[in-house]
Amino acid sequence: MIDFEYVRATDLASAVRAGAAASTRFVAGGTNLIDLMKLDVERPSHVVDINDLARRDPSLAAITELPGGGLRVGGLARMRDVAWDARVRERYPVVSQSLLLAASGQLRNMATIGGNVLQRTRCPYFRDTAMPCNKREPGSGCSAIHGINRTEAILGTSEQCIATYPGDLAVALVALGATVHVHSPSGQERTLPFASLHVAPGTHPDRETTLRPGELITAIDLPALSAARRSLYLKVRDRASYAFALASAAVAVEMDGRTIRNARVGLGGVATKPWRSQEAERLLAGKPATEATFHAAADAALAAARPHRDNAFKVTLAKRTLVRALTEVTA
Amino acid sequence: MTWHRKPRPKRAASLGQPLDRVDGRLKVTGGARYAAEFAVPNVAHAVIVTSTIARGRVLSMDTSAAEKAPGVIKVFTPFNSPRLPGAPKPGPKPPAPSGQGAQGPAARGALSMRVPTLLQDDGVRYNGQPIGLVVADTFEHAREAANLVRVRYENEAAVLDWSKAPLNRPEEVHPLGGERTVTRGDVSQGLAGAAVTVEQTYITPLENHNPMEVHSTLAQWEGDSLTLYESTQGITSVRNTVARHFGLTPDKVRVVAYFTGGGFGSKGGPWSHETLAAMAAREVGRPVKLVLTRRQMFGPVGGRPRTEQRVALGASRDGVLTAIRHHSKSTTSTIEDWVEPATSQTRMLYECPNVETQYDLVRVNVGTPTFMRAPGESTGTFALESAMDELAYALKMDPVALRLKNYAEKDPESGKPWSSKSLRECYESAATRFGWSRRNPEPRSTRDGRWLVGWGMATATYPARRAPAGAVARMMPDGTAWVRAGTQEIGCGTYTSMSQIAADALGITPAQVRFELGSTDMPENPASTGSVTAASTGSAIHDVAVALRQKLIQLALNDPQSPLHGSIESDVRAADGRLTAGGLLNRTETFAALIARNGGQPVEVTVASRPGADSQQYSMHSFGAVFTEVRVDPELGIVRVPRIVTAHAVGRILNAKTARSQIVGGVVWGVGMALEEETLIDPRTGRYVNADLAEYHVPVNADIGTIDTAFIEQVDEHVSSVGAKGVGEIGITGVAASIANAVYHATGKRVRELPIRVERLLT
Amino acid sequence: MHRLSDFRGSPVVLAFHGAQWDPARAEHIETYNRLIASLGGVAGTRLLQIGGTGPWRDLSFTDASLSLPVLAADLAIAERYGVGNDPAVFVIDSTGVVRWSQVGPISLANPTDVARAISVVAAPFVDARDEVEAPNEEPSTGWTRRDFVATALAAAFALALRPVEAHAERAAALAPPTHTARLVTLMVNGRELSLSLEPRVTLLDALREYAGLTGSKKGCDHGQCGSCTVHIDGRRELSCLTFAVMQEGRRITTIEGLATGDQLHPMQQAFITNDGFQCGYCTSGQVMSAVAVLDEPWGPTDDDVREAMSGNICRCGAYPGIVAAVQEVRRAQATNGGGNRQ
Repeated sequence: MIDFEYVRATDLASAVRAGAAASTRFVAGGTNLIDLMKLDVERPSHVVDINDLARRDPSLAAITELPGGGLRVGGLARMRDVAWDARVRERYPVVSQSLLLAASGQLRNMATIGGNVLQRTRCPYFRDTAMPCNKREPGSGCSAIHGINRTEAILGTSEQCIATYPGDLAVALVALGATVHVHSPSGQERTLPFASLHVAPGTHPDRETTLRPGELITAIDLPALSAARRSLYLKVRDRASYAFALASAAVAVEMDGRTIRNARVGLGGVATKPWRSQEAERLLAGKPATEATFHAAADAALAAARPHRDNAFKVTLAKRTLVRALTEVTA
Repeated sequence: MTWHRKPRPKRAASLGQPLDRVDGRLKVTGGARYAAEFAVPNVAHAVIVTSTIARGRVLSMDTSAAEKAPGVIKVFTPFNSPRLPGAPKPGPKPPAPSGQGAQGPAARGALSMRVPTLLQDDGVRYNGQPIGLVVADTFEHAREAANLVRVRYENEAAVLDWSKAPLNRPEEVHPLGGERTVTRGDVSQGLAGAAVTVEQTYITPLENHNPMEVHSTLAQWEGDSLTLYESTQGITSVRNTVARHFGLTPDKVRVVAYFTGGGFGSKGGPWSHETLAAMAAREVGRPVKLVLTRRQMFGPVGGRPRTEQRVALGASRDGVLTAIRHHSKSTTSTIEDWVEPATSQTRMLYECPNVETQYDLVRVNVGTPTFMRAPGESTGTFALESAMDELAYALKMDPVALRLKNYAEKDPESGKPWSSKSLRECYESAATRFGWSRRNPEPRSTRDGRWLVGWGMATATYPARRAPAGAVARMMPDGTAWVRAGTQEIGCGTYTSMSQIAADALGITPAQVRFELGSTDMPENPASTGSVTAASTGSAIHDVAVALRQKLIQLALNDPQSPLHGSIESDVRAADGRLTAGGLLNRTETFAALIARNGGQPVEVTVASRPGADSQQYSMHSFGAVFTEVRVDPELGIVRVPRIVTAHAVGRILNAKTARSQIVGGVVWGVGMALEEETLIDPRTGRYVNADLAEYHVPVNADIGTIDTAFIEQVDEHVSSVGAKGVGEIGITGVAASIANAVYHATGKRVRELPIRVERLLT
Repeated sequence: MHRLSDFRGSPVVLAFHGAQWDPARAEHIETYNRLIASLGGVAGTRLLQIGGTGPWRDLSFTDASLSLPVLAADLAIAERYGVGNDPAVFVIDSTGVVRWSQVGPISLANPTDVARAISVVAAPFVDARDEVEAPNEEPSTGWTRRDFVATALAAAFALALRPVEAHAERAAALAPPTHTARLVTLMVNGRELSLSLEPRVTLLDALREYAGLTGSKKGCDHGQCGSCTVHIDGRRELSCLTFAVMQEGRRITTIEGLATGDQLHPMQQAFITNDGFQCGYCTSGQVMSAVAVLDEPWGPTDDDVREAMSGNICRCGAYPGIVAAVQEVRRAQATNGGGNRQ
């Protein structure tokens, strides 16, 4: 890890101005950034600590009601607090579950919502500076495509990069259609749909989000979605806990008897970014909640999957995970 | 089924009791000192630089940027490192003399033949090999500078595809675990004459030990004497080897390890970092602390090799084995040959006249493998006990009945009687507690909601070995005893069990015993490997305490002023801190009073203890039985193991609490082996791909259900004077097979390659 | 047998080694001894060793190997220095004033810190720049033994309360020569520690390498094993994944701060009783995690505990004992009216 200048920001405005400088990173929980700094994957010369921002402005870490029925979650709210918030548990169980099934108790106490959705891939070649990686160094090559790629993505991949987006919360958020609030160095606030926050690797795997330098996520709005109450997150992994997803599904349904009025579907562990599957949603809306419906939706969700040598099983696993999630949420 | 009860051994005062660990308080308060935690003034920090190619040569290392980095004291490379007079040369060695299994002379030979990478040459033989060392005033400075070293390589095509790498010719195979080929009877005929045969290939992957404490060394010179604070299972091996590297006599090197944070075989002897730290300390003139990163735990400090085991079983219609063939092919490095002795148990576990075992090696450009918890028996029982299970199904026979049908009343390989066995009692105990009699033998017959339920079992076994050991004991003027032996505490509970042994022999309480270990100043003991400590060090402690008692008794009998003067020696007992003759109240005195009257100085005895003639006359092994229940979600490929029931016969239990913990620990390892663990190597570069604890999966708390353990009462004084046989490794044996067998029972799907990953169950 | 007054006129290092058994203690004492010997030119500095309670007073099996005047097994001296059963070190100058001390909690003081303190008192003429403020210090003339004891007592208490402040400035002078190192003040186990650190020093390394608190362990350094778990403002967190400088102003509790003097926290005792450890390396993190878990809204079943504790890896496989320990403490707390009191 290289040496760096550390500054503790006291207010949002100065934080984002400092963050706009070259080679500067924000640190909140530090659970992803400091990990990557130790690997020399991240080498900022300046680190801006934003943990104290909520002292000046408590809304940055708060969970507040929105007029119209949604919930605003401050970007500095800790994963643990959001997961166990009674309103989140009751009205957005998929969000609560996606948080509790992620990481560990200690990590959830440290990590913030804003930081969590921005976490980087676990691709072992990205995390190993001895191996070529287009995401770290554009043009150097992708070691995963012809390497060990069991944990890599099957959706949203390109010739340059197949790295999986590893987070869980983001999958729930993209399925629900959350809204992201961003504060810019210019002082302006902007909002964007959660689905617009992340980008697939395409020809520029080094760019993962649409955030501009110095921008900070100040809040994420959970929408007043009628399907949200009946939602869940299902995660399949290689051990019972403390592991990233092999495949996961975030589902939310609004039911009319045994008919699905409408549904939201997010897939995790299998895509290069948080993956909302409108293909699946279209095949669920208005359909009976039966196995046949679920299988058709799952087939559609994975129709564009492009597996590699070690991760072909994810096609089957992702479908079955989605089917299981739909089965349970409609039960 | 008959239940044979062995006669109850005489119940000693504290031996066998579930005493709390005497080092418990230190461990739960953060007060136990591990190697990197000794506060030595003026210490410098070292970080290893490792190769990024798998095979070739280091052409040059540009250290200019590293040397200029803040706080850097020196950067060592193969080009500027001092020549070590005793450093071994790389390359496969000629075969060592054959021995009796993995801890025999051949194994000791293997350990002393270990070839570390000490910056003495420019060769690179695996990706991740130490090729440099940066020393700086702080850890952060050393770590940063290590990343600034620029290496130019001459890259050669590495051998990484074990399916294509050539097999070693027989005369080059290193015969650990017996000879390369062992035959009795005629296997071909036995198979030909069998009513039912099973022949399958079973595969276990590369694994890494990953103890929680990474390997660490703190090296400090004073003149030409070296002290190493070391995380190790073998202080003597470290001392002897490092001394040899520097051309020093062993008395010039002192190794200290009061607590070691796990080893499991990876710390049985030194690797490279000990000598590198010492070399750096000598060159820079300051103590040097070298702590490996977790990534560096993959490659430079050993692991379990990959095995491909072909097992053929033949049996008559009623389940009598007519033939067993077990061929094991395992990987090793190109630095030294090391054989995983996976066929060891096959020659002795079941009665069978026709048996053939064989080893082959494949040399690959990865890190050198080594002993890893039950080396051989863990991988070998996976293959053998899976094959036995397949045979049972082919015969439509209960798996336990099949084992009992082929029960060996004496060692079928050597013909020698067992020193003790009790395996039938193990099967009975575990099966009963498990509820095995309620089993529906049909695969895929039992469901619980979405879960398929499966039951499987396997035999467990591990050799009971013993090595020479020494101890010294003192009775102090205040009636407390001070006992020392140069053994190690790696979590087995050695501090505690040895205190109990000494306490009982002296007739005092464990709290009145101060047992010390962990320094090469103390009498020499074997490494804490091979489950030998209880039998070896335990015997030495027992013998020295008995000898001390005898000496005190003699002192009393010969002292005209002692109340015991004139008594008969055989009448004297030690209990409650005093000697008493014939149980008489007027013929008794405390140790303290005796010593006070006789000079007031501690009374001391030293012993050397070694295995006796019994080790030649008996076949010495521990046995056990493992019964496992799994639940499989067939659509998602998830396996859960809610309960495991075991019974083991391991000789006298020194401490019921710590012994149970050893079995539990071994069983947890078995769950990891079966379901999770696998070291992944990039096939093009040889790079360790999952070299951290997030991607190399060991069991977490949620992976483990209930583990119900039991010990069959047994005291085996053929093995050791204290009657113990060792319990550290048998716990893992049989577990992976019992899980795979249970998965078969649940799903009808036989998985023959570990780990049993999700995709292996999805179809 | 010597008396403390026999050493008037020499600087003295008083080491109390407490009642608890610790096999590493001999190494510490040996290190102090070597240190004192190596400080050449330090006239008459002696290491005096005092046993607290307990039978293990002499530190070497071969009595001749340590030239260590044994002061006494006299508890009275320990009491005068306010030491009790804790290990402690006092550095006393030639006039009898306690110039530096550290009392408890687990083992003896970092020899590097002791060396610094010794080098201060050993200088024949104390440079004003190097002078260490000792409360209640009077001009060094006409000391009586009674004065010495009284002053030593007062000074000892004052310094014991802020053991590192006394040499914080000196520590700053010895800071590594980078532009980013600065004095970082951490509140650890109720005590203020001032350490000179670069921002990239993690809290874990600050504790282990700079503050001499080696109870928190480094298992992976990447937040993947839980061995480094500490409490920050009452929540369990991974000290390897945060920079020390980020924790200024927070209340940090490490494993060393869990027990109250001799009294173990119920969770520590439960781990011992239920054998929730083997090699002990993950244990600090397990215990810190377990204590915090009882303050988190988990369900009460064994499965809940397993999930809650899955962020702490134990390669020795002591999980069943760990779960049993947590459940035992939970049941005891429920019986006693709830709450996670120590």
